[in-house]
Amino acid sequence: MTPIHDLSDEKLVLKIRTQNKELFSFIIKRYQDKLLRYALYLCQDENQAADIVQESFIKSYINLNSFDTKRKFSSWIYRIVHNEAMNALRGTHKQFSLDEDFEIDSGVNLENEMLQKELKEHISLCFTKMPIIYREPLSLYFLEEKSYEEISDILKLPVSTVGTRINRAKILMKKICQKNQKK
Amino acid sequence: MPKKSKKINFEKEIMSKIISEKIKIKPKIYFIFGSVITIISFIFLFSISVFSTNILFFILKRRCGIYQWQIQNLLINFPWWTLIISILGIVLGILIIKKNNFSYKKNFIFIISIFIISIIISAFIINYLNLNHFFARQRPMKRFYQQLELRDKKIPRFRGVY
Repeated sequence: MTPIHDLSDEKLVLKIRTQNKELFSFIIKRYQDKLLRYALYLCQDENQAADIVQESFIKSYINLNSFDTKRKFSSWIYRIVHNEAMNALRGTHKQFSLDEDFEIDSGVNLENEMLQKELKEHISLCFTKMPIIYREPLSLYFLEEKSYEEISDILKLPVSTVGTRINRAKILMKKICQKNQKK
Repeated sequence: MPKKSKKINFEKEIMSKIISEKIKIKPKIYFIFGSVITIISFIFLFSISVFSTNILFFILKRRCGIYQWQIQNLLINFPWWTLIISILGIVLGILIIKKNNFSYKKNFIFIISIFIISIIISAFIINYLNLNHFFARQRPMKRFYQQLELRDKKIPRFRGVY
């Protein structure tokens, strides 16, 4: 018999549904950090992110029978977090607008090793200034290492739109970072 | 960059609710019931829409001939109630689908396009096969077609028609 740790998410869900509901704790262990990080990127508030994740776990448990085990569990649970985060953001009207007057300064050398550490923090700061429609696919692709297909499932967007948004997000990120660096 | 979140014990919080049965997994039947309602709504909506479109073709063909139709006749005779029910049905169907399938990707534009195209094709086929004459003799629809016939007699004919 395969140990629980080696079971895939989908098989684990089957076991939770049919045999032992307490195995849900393994799902929580596997996903809590990832989902918390993702929620935090979306809402920028640690308490709100924690609420979102907790609510998402509860929703996923309650609706576990609606999960199709032929599909990817991670996409399903990320989608729930996305929905919860969007509802929370709508509630608090927390939207990060974008200043459209950014200029590209190609003279700024982003590759300079001396600046790498400082830039890391700087880039993270820039990330928070991006509009959510770009921040979300970018965080899923680079930080959560999801494929375009998975991002498409999570955000309910066509794969081509995901690609376009990630490309635009990269350009935007560069613009924001360069503008901030000049200040 | 957002601040690093403090460690929250989700496991303890959520598992205590699960063990104490404060939260329970919704039974499969709940989701099956949701799907059945969705399917029934769509069949109902599809039937009403095909019927409405078929009546539209029927009125156009019968009253004025397909190339000489008069907007006025159409507006008077068209069973607007079916259109209202159809719109309400579409809204209800989408709401049910969204509620029960909150986590899967659905191409709504594609589904709605296919739905509308199949309504028009079905209505055209019904009209082409003259099934309206068959419906007019059947019990539930007999009265409706009789009313249509009565209205037909009250409305003055336009020159060149018939």
